[in-house]
Amino acid sequence: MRRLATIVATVVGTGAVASAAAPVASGAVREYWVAAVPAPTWNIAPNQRDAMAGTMLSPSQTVFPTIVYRRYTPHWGHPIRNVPGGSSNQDLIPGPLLRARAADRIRVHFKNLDTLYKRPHSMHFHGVHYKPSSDGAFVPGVSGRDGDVKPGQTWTYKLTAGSDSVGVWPYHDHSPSMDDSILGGMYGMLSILGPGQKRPDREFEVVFAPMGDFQTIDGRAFVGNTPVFTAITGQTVQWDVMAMGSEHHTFHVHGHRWVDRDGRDVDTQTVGPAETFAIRWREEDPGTWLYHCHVESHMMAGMIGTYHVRRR
Amino acid sequence: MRRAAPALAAVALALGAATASAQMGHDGHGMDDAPAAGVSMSASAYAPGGVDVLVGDTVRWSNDSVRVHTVSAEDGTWSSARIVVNETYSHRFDDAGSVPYYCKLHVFMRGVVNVRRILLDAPREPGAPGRAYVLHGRTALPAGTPVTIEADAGAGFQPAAETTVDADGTFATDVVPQTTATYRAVSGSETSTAAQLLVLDRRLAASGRTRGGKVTVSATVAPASPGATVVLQLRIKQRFGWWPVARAKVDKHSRVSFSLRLAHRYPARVVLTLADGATQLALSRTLRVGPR
Repeated sequence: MRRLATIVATVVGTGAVASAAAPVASGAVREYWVAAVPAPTWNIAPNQRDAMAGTMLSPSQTVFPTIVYRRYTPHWGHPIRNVPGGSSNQDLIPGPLLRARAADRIRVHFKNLDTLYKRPHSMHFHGVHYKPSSDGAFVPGVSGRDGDVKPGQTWTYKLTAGSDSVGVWPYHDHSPSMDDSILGGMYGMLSILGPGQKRPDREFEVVFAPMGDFQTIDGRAFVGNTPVFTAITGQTVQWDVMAMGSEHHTFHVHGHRWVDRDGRDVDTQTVGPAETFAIRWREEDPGTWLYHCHVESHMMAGMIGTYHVRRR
Repeated sequence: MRRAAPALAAVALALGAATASAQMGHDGHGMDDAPAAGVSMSASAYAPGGVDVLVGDTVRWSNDSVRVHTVSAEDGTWSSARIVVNETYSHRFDDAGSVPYYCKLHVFMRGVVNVRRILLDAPREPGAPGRAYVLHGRTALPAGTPVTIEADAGAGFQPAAETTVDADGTFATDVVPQTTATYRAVSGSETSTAAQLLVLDRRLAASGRTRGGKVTVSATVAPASPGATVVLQLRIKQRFGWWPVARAKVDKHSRVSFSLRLAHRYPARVVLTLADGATQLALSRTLRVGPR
């Protein structure tokens, strides 16, 4: 496979970079409306197969009800796609991609519409600045409504992106329902740019997490079901990578390399529970490529997908 | 057969069988908890008169009449107080067996709770001949316990499928019915109630029209099945097979129409499925839709 010419491949804003920066005032105010909603027939493998192994999968193995985050238009107008086109291949897992820029104030209006289990839910954000009332974590006898939003109730999380918030970060349910919720796909990412930093042409979300008997990427398992990412040569692509659950994963993209946070050229990078990293490169290699977790048992259980690059 | 999600314990819930309360006492009068079964009290009857629950499940009675009622065990071991209109009473059942009960104020009102160690959910939709159909159930037996699904199509019960109990006490497996039959779950000496799976040989007629990039696919299900779930699938190379792109329910005339925009030409078909949108009951012929 051809070597990706020189370049623009680098780790961007990993959040691991220490900084004493405090929130910077006077940024924009970015508002998001996000609800916890039922997904009564979530299908981990809609093509009902592990195409690499040539085996079929029954709906009794792959279909189950769950609760997911879903983005709405302002003031709960109507539901919209969670992610920009091409960033994932379905619009419910992961949750909405919450974009901002350092110094922005972020307002996430959350509504619990869990009519399936009628459980409490919440949103807990990593990487940004907030007061305890926007922590979104349930602590018995200590926390407030932010960590225990009952069905039918709303809560607004008030966050600030500091100069130390640049990069991608997880958010997830941290209510009393946290364990079931995370196993069911209630997680998503913040994507925060630095001052003057340009958005990539393509931004791909890759969330490694176990689900039922499978190891999933964005709540789906096996090629064709996991996101089918696409790009055109010359475009800048950014991969937002995250893990949820209790295991580490190794993110690998065939035919490409990038520079990790230690300055090394790599083509495989480890990510642990609630860790994230974002990598960028300018795409120069047309073809169909695999991306996957290189923990072999995870890959065989579904953590693998395809990336298609078309020549300009 | 493996199950999708041991931790996602709610398959049974989504299918209409709520999870059981773990804490309800003998007099849960007015308390709000998750019952495994609900019974409505009218002026002169319990409805349904008989319910099947698992050991450890809670049943909730709701007084939907203007009369005052009670729920009282025939053997006198437990009883509600007077239940007035719109009030509820809950009772948890910890021992297997049939528990007859009555209303002390209207002694002709009788009901029974059948407390079992294994339950098979009644199929909610018809199956199709020769096509897999998933059956679900719950049990109080330990995780890993083998469960046999038996079928009786007129010649007595015969084994039809094997599975094991998941960590959350549920089980699920496919059967492949050829005709309407009655199914039950068996594990050791424990047997569930029997439930009928209606098998219908339904057919889908589909046609497609492409104008520019706009595609319309129309389909009809016969015999008429208003409200049945249908899925439009495209065969997409990047998806390694048939990929669902839209889901709908057929109208009162058993018809459905899908509209979508396509940049390329694809093989397409309409699939009649269970409500899960995935278990196939009938397929249309394969069409070709999209711009040439």
